[in-house]
Amino acid sequence: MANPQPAAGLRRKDLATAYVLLRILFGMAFFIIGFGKLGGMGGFANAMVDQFKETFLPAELVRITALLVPPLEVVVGLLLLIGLFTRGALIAGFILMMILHAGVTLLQNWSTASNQLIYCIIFFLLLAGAGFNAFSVDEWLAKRRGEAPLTDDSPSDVIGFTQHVFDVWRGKKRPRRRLS
Amino acid sequence: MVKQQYSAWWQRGLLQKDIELAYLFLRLIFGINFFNHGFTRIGNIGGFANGMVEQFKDTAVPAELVRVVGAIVPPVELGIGILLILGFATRGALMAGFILMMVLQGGVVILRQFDTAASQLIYCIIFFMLLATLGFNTYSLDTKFRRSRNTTSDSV
Repeated sequence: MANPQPAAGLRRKDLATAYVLLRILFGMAFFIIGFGKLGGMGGFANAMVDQFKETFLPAELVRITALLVPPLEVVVGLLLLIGLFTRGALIAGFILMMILHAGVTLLQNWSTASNQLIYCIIFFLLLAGAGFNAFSVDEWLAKRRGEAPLTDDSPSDVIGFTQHVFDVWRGKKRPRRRLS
Repeated sequence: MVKQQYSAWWQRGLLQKDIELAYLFLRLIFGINFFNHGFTRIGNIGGFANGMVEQFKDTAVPAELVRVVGAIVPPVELGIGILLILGFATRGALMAGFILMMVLQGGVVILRQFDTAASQLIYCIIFFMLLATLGFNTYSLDTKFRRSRNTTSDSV
């Protein structure tokens, strides 16, 4: 690397190293959490339904969510572990955390809630810092295909937001640019 | 339009897009948290305040002060939750929440409940992150209203 670096300050190499280590650790943890539940999914779903029986949430909704959680955790964990579709996996995981967090706080299970917030902090750090996802399958593929990197232009309406989420999800720019 | 080419990762940096999206999710989750804190307590403010008075009865803090704080906390939490979910008056909501955490942190430290103190610090970290990166609060009613009034200044 020939680009000049300041004597003191954040260095991209350090950020990318920290990023990859956190991503691998977090992906591994998510994968193992999900994998452990995968065997006893019926029991896990029943336990969740039982926990929520005092709340206004319908039992079927709780059961469906409980059945979706372990496979989602496994997939998100694996993708984060290897760094494939990293942004998409992070968005999916973040939304999953939102649903779980709504449930846990409704149960007033505050110690689990603050543990979940730590996961949310890490999702925030990984998604916000996704520009430093250098050591990943995503980056390797982008380099091989000579893909243009994601850029920051996006209109600020509902359509723009949808495109924005879609762009970040894919980790690529839209093929066509809207006339402005 | 010039066709863009792959550029090596060290020539790129943080993307505003990523941060805005991460900010939105964290703000929503935190808003849901505060909303449910308030929502599950609002029906039973008296019981909540009495519980707090009971906890503080061996300390030097006057019971009336504890009762007033206990009665104020649930509606404040509910309000902060709604504002954070909507992204309306985000800065005010975050500052109010941060100050609330200060009061609560003082309380639990006086009670020497260090586990609770540590989990409250997690909330404080999130308040710090959301307040410090408020410039990325793009997907919010704040942005909507600022745009419609055509004032884009962000002077401190």
